[in-house]
Amino acid sequence: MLQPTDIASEAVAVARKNFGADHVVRAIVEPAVDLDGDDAWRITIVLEPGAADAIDGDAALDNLVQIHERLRRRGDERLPIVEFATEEELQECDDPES
Amino acid sequence: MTIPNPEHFFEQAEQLVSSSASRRPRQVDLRRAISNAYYAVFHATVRAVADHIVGRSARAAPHYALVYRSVDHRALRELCKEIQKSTLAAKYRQDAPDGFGREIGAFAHAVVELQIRREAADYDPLADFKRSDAHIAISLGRGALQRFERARDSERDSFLNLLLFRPR
Repeated sequence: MLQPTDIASEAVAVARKNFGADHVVRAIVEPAVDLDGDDAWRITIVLEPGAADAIDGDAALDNLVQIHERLRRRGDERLPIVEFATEEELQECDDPES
Repeated sequence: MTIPNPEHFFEQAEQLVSSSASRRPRQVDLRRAISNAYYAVFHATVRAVADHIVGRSARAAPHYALVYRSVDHRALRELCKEIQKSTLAAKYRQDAPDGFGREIGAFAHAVVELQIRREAADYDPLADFKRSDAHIAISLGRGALQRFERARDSERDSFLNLLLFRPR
């Protein structure tokens, strides 16, 4: 069974291929569940500032599908839930109520 | 009669996530944007179902609304999760003998992803949303609808039939 570090490596490799190596910093991976209660992976791809604006629908979709295919090829059937953030956004502390 | 326009959901979402030096989107803006990205895809899908079954020329008819409202989120998710599997279950293959290709496959991935995100955006008080993420969710929704339109007619028809009529 794949470990979060394995998933992160795969996700970064796929994201760099689809979005450009310069746009992708790292990936954060944690266990999650989907809407049916099935095990999943929550993958946060950390982007360089401004990179999200350059990512179109085709690239976002290819990225999602290819991450799922890569995990499946390595024997992990868990659904990847792929999210995005910049380092700055990860540090932001919003109002507790919004 | 006004059928929801999927593009208007996307446009509203883009307005919500736009930021400037003096304004950063609030969490509630990001939640609505992500929810809109899903609802754009959902309404485009159920509109396609109703157009397929009833016909575009009958959009004002009461039975058009009946078909439009007959698809729920769970049914859409279950079909899309099935399509994500490497092999389609036998009961689905009867109505989709050639299976589903890359376009419908990619669409199905986006639907499942966006539905999960929408659930969190609408209901999870502890979830924290990022502008980058909302922006890409909108792009993902748009990309999904483009793939749906690019799919072969036969595959799209099979998808819509299976969404409305569940095989036993």
